[in-house]
Amino acid sequence: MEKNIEHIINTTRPELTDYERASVWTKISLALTPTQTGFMLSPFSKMVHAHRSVFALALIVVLLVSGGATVVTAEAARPGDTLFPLDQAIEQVRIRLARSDDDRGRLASAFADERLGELRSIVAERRGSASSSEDMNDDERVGIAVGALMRVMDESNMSDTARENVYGHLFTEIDDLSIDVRVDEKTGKENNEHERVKIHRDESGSKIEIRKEGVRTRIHKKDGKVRIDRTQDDEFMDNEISDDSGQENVSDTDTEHVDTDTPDDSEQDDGEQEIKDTEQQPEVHGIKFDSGDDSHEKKVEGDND
Amino acid sequence: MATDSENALERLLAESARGDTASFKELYELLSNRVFSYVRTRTGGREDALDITQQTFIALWKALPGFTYQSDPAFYGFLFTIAKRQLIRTYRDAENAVVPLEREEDVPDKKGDTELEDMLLRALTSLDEVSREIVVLHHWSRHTFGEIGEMLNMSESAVRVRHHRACATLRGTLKEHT
Repeated sequence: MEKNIEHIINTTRPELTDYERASVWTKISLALTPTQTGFMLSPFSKMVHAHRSVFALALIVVLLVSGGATVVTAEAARPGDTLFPLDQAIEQVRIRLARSDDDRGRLASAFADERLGELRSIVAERRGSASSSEDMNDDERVGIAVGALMRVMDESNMSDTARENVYGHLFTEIDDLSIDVRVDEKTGKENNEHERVKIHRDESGSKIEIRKEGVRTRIHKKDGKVRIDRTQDDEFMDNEISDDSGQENVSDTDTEHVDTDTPDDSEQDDGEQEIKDTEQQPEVHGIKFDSGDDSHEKKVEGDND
Repeated sequence: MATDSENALERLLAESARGDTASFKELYELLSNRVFSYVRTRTGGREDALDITQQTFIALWKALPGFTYQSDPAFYGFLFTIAKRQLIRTYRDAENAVVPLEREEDVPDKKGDTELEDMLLRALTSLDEVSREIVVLHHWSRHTFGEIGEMLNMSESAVRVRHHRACATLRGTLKEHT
């Protein structure tokens, strides 16, 4: 009889599903600081960097012969690694093969989290002047990482909340960077204007601008709020981003904009904050930032258009 | 004498403490279900259990550089202490919810994902704290009685006796509800 009750307990053990396990790990990985005792490239990654051209050629052959193992290896690649474009391609295939829009959105969110984690580690290396690449500077790697993240955001079925969450984290990661690089995600080399990634901040540090492939994303920080404007307009392709004058006009007529608190500023905000700009009677979303010691519930405003 | 699994765990802990995220991921794969099933009995829903599992591993990552490995059970005791702290912190921070571990039956809306799990979660609240800990650690977190004894600072035989009585109590409680 005791064995029977033990059997019941054993068979009702709550377990993580594969998706839950992967999703929780993605969030954990975002919070892992790679500098406990110094972030090091694995010997394998160093070998790949040292022999990139040979590796790229071999990759095609190996992929054809033993696709599974190569795919696993590619998934560990980071922006700037030879296998990184393959990693992205695999992700795009997985998104497109997903059974439903919901599944596609969940996958895209997980991949965006992965991109953020990669960006975090690369930015940490850049700040520590511990460049891990022999043939690519850190700005280029940051550019590729940001570009890859924006691509996931552009091509995905992510929910608005998930997308806004990613923007909030992106702001935190890059808010003290200023880079202007032209990179090709496939080769890591200078390419053309359409592959340009430019991160700019004004003197007050309250505004960041990212340009990539004709999409201009502006993230503003004011009074503890983050506001995102995205413009998809060819006119911006021919114009340089204004210098650090802080006088750049930001139009409210852009195609998309969202206001949110920053993870950093929320530390000072005891509880929820009211958004000051209420002209457009926006919808309020709760956003949970999962990095760091504590999770913070945010209030976010955005247009519904 | 150290077994292979002990050596593997010790190695993963040492590498993770040095900042090796790949090793920490292996550690996570090894332990995530143990932690999740443990915290699941103490939370009101699956989502809360997922959040606390996540927080537990983040806290573990930060704590590992200061941890000295002595044995597997000692580490498990360390891990579940972190999980308990995260549970306390979560419910302390939550609005109108103060849940001392001694009174977990007060956790609101403790629902399982299946009817049987739901019944079992409720039946577990009929046990005292130590007995519930033993049942969950043995059946859901898959620890041996010896390991649990070391974790809870009890003899193995005492753990076995408490487990036997707990199963009898659970059997009676479940009968009442069926």
